[in-house]
Amino acid sequence: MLEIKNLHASVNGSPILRGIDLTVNKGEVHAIMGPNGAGKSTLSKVLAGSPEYEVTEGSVKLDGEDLLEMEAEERAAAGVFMGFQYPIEVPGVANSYFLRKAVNAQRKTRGEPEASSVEILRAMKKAMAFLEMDAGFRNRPVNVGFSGGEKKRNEILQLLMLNPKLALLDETDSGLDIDALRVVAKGVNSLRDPEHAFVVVTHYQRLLDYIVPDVVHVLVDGRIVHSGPRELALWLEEHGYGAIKAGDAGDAPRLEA
Amino acid sequence: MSWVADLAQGTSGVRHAKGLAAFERVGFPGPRLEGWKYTSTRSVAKVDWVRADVVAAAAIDGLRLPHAAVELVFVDGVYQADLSRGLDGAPVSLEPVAQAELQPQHVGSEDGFVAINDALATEGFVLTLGRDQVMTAPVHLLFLQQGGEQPVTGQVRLVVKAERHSRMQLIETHHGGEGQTFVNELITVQVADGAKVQHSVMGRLGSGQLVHTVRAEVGRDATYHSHMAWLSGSLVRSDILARLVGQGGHVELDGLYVLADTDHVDNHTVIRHEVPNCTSVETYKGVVGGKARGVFDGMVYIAKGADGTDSQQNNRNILLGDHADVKTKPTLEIYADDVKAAHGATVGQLDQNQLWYLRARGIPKAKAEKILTHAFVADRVLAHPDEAWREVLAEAVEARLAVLEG
Ligand SMILES: Nc1ncnc2c1ncn2[C@@H]1O[C@H](COP(=O)(O)OP(=O)(O)OP(=O)(O)O)[C@@H](O)[C@H]1O
Ligand SMILES: [Mg+2]
Repeated sequence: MLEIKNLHASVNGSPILRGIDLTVNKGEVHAIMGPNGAGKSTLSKVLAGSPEYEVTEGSVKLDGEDLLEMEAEERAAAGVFMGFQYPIEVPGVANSYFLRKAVNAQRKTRGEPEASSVEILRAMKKAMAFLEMDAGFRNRPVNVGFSGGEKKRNEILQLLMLNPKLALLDETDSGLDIDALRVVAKGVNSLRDPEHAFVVVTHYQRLLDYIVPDVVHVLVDGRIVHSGPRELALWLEEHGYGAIKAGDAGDAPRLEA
Repeated sequence: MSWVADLAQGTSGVRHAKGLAAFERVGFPGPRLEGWKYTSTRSVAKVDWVRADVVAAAAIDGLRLPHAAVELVFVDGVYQADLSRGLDGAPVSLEPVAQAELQPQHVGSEDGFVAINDALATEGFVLTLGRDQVMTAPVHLLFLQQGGEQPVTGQVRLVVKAERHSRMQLIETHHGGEGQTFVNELITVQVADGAKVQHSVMGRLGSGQLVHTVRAEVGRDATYHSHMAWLSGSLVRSDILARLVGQGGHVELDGLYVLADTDHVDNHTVIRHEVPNCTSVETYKGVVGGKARGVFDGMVYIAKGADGTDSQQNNRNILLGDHADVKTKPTLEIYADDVKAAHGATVGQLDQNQLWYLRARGIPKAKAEKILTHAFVADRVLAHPDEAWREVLAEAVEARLAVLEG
């Protein structure tokens, strides 16, 4: 589904991603771990089409289509969703209005008929109940004054409403209490099926107990330097990034070639 | 000889004479005055205006406010009795200014337009709401500038007296078209102790020109809430002086301007805290695009002895495109002790992070910009307590934003 080859990206001329290769197939869940500042958020944002970054080399294909040629809104309509590490507050725009506009904008771009307000409201109510969100969040301005955990839950609400084929979840688990973590994982797992794929950025192997990945990658200094099975996350928790950073993965679990 | 002296022939009375004398001393305000730095008065000064007259008919059906208790209609600044309604049995008493003895308002000030109004105004009313009277439905002052073959002007004088513990809502709508017109309105508002006046103004003036001057005086525990929405006009000068003269008084000035094309709107406000323990809040927001210019020049003056004052003032602007222009000048002068006062102003573009967030969810850039612009002004519409009016206003704002966004 997603094919990234030798991706380089920079901000204001300084390189951050330095040759990312990553293939994610339909139905798979990939976890990306790595030290602070390694480029994990940058990778997610570049894939989602943030205007902040300049791609200097490489290619990204989504189901064979050149993703880098598309505007952010076109990527969203094509099925790419990024859950923000730091969701943005939008004063004056109600959550429900925002979701309605987003759902229908995507449908319009895809040439599908728009959904009625009633349909969207019904879906929203259902998703909010599933995520154990208070109905009051419908009419509150997007993320304004939400606690850290509430913002993350709101990202998952958007995920459920937009039902993308590829979800990039950037530290959706950070700042969550244990119950919220369970709820967020429940949300993500509800979409897991052979048609959806996920790239989950996290610092904590704990999330991966709930959202069990097929592959774990370690991103250091703008490159994926090691990939392994689910057990790699446990190994990292014990050993840290030191050895892998130094180029000596030792007995770290790795993918069979 | 200026048109002012021309039109003054045929008026009589002390106020007119004093006004004319004052005008001849100060003339039209010009750039030499700090308060008129950003607005040229040439398009008013250099025209041979004639007085407007009573009209046979005017297209005002769509401009009426169904929920108004009283509707006073003025066309090009001239009162139209046949088009007005609700005067019989109105809860406010209405006395035509032509019959009232009005004091000249131009007392030692440099304000040429107030002097002109003193000199020429024969149209308008003294509106009095008696003690303890509570009006729930608004008084609507409907102004239409429709013009004619010659450039026409009207000078309107309104005096609003809300007596002790009364409550009044006043809505002015100013509509313009394509004619060459100019209205100079002076409205004095006296809010007696414990009274509350909600004074709203919406201007959609097109090529019409309006100088709108408010002189409000707010008594003990009284509230004056002004809500201005300027949604087009080739020259609009909105001048407010609100004086807090009784303890516990409250002044709230809300403003909104959405300007496109070659609109020019100059908001000039002064809040004077003259006694202790009063509060004021001023919030103006503007969206300015095209080749328009928006001005906010707001002063909060806290006089010696006005201790315990609490005052907030804020002006925020969004500039769209490279040819629009905003001048903002919030000022604060404090001569009292134990004062809480905050003020600030910003001029900027739409928030790029918010724009990115909306786009990342699939909302195309142009649409996202639209949503964010609406969101920026929406809270000023919501600041109005009257739901029926909010609906009218929201629709008008929407229409203007649509022009702005092309
Ligand atoms: N817009 C930007 N301007 C300047 N530097 C940036 C920008 N975006 C990212 N960077 C830099 O790029 C590097 C990678 O940042 P990124 O946010 O991708 O790291 P991360 O792996 O997500 O880290 P964390 O685990 O702390 O979230 C950092 O050094 C960061 O300072
Ligand atoms: Mg990050």
